[in-house]
Amino acid sequence: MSERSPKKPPAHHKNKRASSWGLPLMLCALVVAVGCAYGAKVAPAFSYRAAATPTGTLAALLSRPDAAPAPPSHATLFYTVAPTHDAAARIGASRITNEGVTPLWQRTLEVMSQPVGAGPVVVTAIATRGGNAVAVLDADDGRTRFTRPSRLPLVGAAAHGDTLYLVLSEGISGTVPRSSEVWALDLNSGTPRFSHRFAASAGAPFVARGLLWVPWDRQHLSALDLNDGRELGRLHLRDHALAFLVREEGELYYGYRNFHRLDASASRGVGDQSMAEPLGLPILPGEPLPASDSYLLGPAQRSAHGRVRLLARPGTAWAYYVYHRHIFSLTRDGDEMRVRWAARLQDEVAEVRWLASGLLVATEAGEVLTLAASDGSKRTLGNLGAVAAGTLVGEIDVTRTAEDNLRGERAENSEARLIVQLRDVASDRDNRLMASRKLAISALARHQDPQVTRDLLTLLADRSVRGPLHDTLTEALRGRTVSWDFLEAALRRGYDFVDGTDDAPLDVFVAWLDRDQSPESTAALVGLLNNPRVPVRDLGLVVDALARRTDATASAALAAFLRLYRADSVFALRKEALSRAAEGAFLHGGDSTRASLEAVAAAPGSHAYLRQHIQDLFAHAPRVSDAHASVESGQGADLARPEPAAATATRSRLGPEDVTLALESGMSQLRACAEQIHGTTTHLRRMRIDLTIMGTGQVKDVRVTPAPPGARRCLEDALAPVRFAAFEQTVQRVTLSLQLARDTPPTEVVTEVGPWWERLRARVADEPEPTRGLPFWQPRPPLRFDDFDLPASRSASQDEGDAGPDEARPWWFPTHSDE
Amino acid sequence: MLAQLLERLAFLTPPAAKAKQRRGRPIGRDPWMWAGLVLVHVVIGTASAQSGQDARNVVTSASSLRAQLHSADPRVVEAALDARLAAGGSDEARRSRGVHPADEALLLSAFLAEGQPDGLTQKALRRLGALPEVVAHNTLLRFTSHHRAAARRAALSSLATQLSQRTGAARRAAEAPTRRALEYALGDRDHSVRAAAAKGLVVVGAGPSLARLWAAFEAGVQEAAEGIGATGDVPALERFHGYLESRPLSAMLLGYQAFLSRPELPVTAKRGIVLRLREVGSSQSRVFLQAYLRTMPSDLRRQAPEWVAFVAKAIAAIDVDASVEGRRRRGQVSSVDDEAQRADEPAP
Repeated sequence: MSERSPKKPPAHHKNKRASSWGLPLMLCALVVAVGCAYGAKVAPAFSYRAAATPTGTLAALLSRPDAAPAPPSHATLFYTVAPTHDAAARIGASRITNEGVTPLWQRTLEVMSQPVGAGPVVVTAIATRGGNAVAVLDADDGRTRFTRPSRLPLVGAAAHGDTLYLVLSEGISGTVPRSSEVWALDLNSGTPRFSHRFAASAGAPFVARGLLWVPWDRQHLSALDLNDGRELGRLHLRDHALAFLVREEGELYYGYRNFHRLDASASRGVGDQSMAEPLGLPILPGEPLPASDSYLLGPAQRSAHGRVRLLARPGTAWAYYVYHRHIFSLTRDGDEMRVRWAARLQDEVAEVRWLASGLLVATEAGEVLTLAASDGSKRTLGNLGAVAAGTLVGEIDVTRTAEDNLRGERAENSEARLIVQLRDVASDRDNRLMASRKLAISALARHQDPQVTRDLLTLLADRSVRGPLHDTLTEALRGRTVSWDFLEAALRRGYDFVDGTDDAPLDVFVAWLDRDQSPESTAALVGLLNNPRVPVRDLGLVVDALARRTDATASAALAAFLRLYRADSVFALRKEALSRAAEGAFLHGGDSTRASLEAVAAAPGSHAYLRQHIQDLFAHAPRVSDAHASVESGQGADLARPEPAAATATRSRLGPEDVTLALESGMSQLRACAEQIHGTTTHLRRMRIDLTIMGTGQVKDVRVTPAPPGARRCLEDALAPVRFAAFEQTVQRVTLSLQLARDTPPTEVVTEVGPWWERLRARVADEPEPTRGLPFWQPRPPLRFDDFDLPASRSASQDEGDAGPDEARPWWFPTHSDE
Repeated sequence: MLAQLLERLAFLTPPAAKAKQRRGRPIGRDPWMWAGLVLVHVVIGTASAQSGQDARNVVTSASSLRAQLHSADPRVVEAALDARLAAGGSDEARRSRGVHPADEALLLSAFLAEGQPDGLTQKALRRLGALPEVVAHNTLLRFTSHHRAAARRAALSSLATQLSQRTGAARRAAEAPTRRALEYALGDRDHSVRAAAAKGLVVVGAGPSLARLWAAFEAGVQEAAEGIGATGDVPALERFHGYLESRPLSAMLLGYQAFLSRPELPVTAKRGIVLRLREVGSSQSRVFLQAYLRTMPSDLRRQAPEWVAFVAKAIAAIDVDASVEGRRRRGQVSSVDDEAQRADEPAP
């Protein structure tokens, strides 16, 4: 008999136990695997899902040692030559030293993009039979190290060690979907090390602090490991866009319109804590960025790309502005921009590089020259024949001695020399360069040298000066004071078909003559009145100026003018000149002049409108004489026009214009009163003034709400001399809103909020959406606290939300009026 | 002829005279006949003068002219001005016992200073050009600064006409300001004024103004070519040839015509003109040469038969069929030729 062993649990029971543990384990493993996979999937490089790197991590990344390459003792120009009908496109390189230009190599290649220097190689996009490709050439001899077919356009390259990093991207302009690739290739063989492909636009790579920095989508900056391409950190900018990344004095800066220091605080992506010293320059014509936009690489052919450039450095108070073939050295003078020197080149600038001691320039004609930082003096180093596009790398000292170098940093251009330079730029007859000529004229007009006035007048007589340039010149001349000899010479130099001179700026001249009430100026005005070269359309200006003169010469000239042209067809439709001449002669002329006016009105053939106007003048003689007296006593700003009797009789009540016109006479007293009230009660920002005006135009009652002590008395005294026009109603009440100060802090006037994603985030989080302010790329207007000088303060009705159509209304403009 | 006239007027002879004639007395010795002839002459003369007055509405005194110029009816004023314009030059006016030129100049100057409608101003200015008076000269000078181009044009033309009528000291006194006004007007804004100034300089003598005329011609005043041709020397002609390709042919022909009409210019220089026009080979140049040959004085034709033959040969050598015009006629013209032909047209 066999003894049975204790009963063992069946095998399937053990399996069952095992399976009861295995399932959860398997599930855990699955969850872990899925989670890892998901985690690995959601956080690849250049992914929108990844969050910005914390400040500490970014600080650690940025604290890595950074060994900037030592600048060589020479510069190298990699350039392309555009194809012609008998020659193919070429690419070449030349070594530039202080002694001259030495061609290194040149070879025929179907280059498609501006060459990019990257360490020992030069990279460019080329066209091949199979499509586009990226060619990597040896920088020393131009031989092709390797080529790689590319689907996307090249935007930039950088080299570190034996690795070449390339970024290819498209879609920044929005015309095609955004797509980018980052390649890391062996520098010698082109063997891939790693690569990334992502659906975003990307900028040129930048190697610094042992990392590969790649900007993308204008808002992100990813730091990649140089060896395996892992994304080690990321900067997500919310307030600033990112167009470039530069290294200056060992620091890294990024920016769009300004430079921002790339430090740990930048990880927050908001505020101005990381901002380097801003340039403070106004938006220049062409709106160039202070450094080249790394998202765009220029073409190999001649184009307008890169012809307008601003070269600036963080922490430097000056910049260079290149506009095709004009170069300006700009600096800040307080709140204003000042031109240190200006230069005009023969050909357009194809490439320019900021050196420590000046500028290194390659023109389209192939000329390589330097411009000293101190005064812009030019020195030609050599000529390459032609350059369509190029890239300058390296550094040279364009001055010969250390003293010159020092002078180049600190010395200033002399004023006389600057005037000559600006005049040279302004007188460039190429109207494509109107923007830079305008800049030169504006800079020239700041100098009060009398010679500058002559230069401006000479420029104005040039027939190539048209449109906005003419307006700028006229505006510049209008504010200047001139001596008589200049003015006489300018008046003599009017339009002449044979000499090729153009019309003189009559409005400027008349304004000048108007300031001077001497007999000589009257004679000059009379000369203009009888000058056949003065366009008939502008004669009204001259007549107007003469009509304001009280001397007999002016009235006699006006009477003679009136008599001569009373029936001439020239003034049949241009009624203003003769009408104004009649007024002037009537007001300031004696009995004989008035008699001649009557004769003109009675003579057969006189224009009907003129006859009627003269009859009106005589019919309303007392009223016009009153206006005359007002002008002579200085109370009136301008000659009051006689109004037809019908218009006076039909005014049932005062309109806004009538109130404004009447208040102008007591404006100084009102202003003084407002300042007094504001001085005593600073918390008071706005007052309401109710005027009760009788039908005779007299102010009967003044009420003020709120009523600080003395305010009513002050306003009554101020409004006592004010006489409103008479109206038919018995009484009319006019309400004025007197704004004493801004009711909102100045910082809140221009609300600065984040861009669209900020508003989107607020909307998703059910937060109140911030009001839309000025976009970050627009310059903020300077804040002004002198409220009383503001031409158009907001009225009460506008503050309450029902802004009127005319925002330029003065602050005393009545908000409403009723009986 | 007198005898025929006497025979025709025989019916006026008294019967007694006829009887005497029949008796054989010579008719020329008859006092009755002579008295009758005088009477007839007076009657006929008076009648013809009256008819002339009616036709021209002649103003016979300064006072009546003043009255008519100050008339409220513009038709009367216009008729008076028309009458003065029809009265002709100064000598004729003096002989016709009409208004003295000095009075007329004064009246018209005052009339213009009062300001008149365009038509009356133009006529008065034209009339002032026929009056070689200082007052008229000053008024015309003043009107060269008028703001209406037509008035300036009329004043300039009248100034030139007036100066050409003056001689001696009066001309010397008036020449400088007139020339200055004409030269200044070459730079006028209005092309018709520029043209009038250029023509006026030709009338008064373009020699002293040659530099300004060259500048005007280079700037585009085509009428200045005539002044250059009227006074330019051989080097000036060579310089003028240089514009043959760049200026309208009509402008060049103006200058060439003036050059060719000058007898003191060497024949070799004139040959150059003809040769260049033959090279141009257009119908316009051929018509020009034909007209030149046709209007050549007969004595000159007789004196220089070689020159006539040379010009005729040049005309014959111009093959219009080969020119742009001929090809256009045959429909073989290209757009480039068309452009070239349009360039020959005078500028608007």
